Amino acid sequence: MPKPREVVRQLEVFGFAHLRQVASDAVGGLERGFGKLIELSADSASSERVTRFDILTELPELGRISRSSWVRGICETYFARHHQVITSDANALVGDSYWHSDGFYNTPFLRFVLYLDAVTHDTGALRFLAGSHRADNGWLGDPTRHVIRHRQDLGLDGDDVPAVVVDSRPGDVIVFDTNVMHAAWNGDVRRQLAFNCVGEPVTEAEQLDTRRYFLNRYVSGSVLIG
Amino acid sequence: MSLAPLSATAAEVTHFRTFGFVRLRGAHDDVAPAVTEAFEDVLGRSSPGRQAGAGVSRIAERSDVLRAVLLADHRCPRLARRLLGTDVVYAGGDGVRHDGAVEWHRDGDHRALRLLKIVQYLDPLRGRTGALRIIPGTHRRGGSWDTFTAELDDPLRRLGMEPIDVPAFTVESSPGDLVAFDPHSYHASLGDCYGRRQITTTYASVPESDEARRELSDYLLADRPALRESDDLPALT
Repeated sequence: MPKPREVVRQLEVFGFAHLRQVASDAVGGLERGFGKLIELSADSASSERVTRFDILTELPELGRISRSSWVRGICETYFARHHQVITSDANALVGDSYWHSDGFYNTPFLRFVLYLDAVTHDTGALRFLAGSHRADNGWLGDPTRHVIRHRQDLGLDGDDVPAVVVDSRPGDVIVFDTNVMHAAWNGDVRRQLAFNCVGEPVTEAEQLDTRRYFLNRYVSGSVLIG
Repeated sequence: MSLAPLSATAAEVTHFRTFGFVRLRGAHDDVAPAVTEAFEDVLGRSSPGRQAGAGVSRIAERSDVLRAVLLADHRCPRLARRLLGTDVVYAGGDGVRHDGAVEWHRDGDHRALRLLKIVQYLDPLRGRTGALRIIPGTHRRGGSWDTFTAELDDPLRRLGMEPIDVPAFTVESSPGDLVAFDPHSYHASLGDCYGRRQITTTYASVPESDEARRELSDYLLADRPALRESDDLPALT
């Protein structure tokens, strides 16, 4: 496990970090807990994503991970203040997740993701555009539009956009700044657990961002808050 | 030698400008054997240097075949004009047989100068056998990437990761492919890649500012220290 400051530097530079096997001892408990939250059909033939929110109480193994010393170390270094878990979710993901960021906020948010199935480039692994979480790196505007319109503008399928694929196996954790452009392609049904963290909002802008971010986790699209 | 013009589609131009590179698959399929033969001929006739491999600067000027394939106006210069969207000047290049890996770097730290490198690798290259690795989008100037040089110089100490684990896109290639990239992008070639052969030609946008002219002068004189130290150089116009 890299040191928290190294993970945080990876997050600052690339927008994401891959922590191999940091949760390997929790996989059994997470799998049992997931099965109680979301029942997958025996033939794994689901055609729609299924999501359950606010799962830390029902899934104590994930709660323990969210309070672990290494998660605390990463969050406290990244946010440079007290932090909190703002949302958590269990997902049975199906198919592709198109190129997107989870909004683009001045206030940073981190998402910790665990897959309970091995995922690779051709089975729905997360992929990222490194550095696209930072507004000053020039991704906003035309470059992002070209990525989203990859077929029309670049003549590429979504999985051919030149990005970094993060293969993952149960026990790995992927943490990313939710501004970063990401996608998943070629996936079948795959089980995912996640929780999102934010530094304690202080300014009015941070409080507004945090409320908007919280609501947008539940409602796709942009939620306006006056 | 009669050769078709080299160019790029609108999608390839957008790819280059969005990510800092584009791979033109098979663009040199018809000339790959002749290029390889010319490369070996030039290196055989020369006394190549041995720093990180055997190399000959400006190799394209030392062979009739390479001059026709690479430097004729309808070949690499035309491709460079298309990708950069400007008139261009030839800025050199080399032929190298590498002894090993090339670590993460940018070619210079130019603020105004726009460069394009067109590379043909003469061997099939994959991720762990020396294929070009690029961090897409790092060709853009003035952003945070400019402040992360130390991290890319020493990823093990600064980021806790081996150079080969730095997240990047691997541009796998075959001998007939061309890879055109902005060398301001962070790039590397890692893994087991002894003997990897490459031919590079470099073009610069015709400079339109004093800063770009100064940077182009510095770039062209980089391997000529005796000239670089002179105070009597003519100014580039």
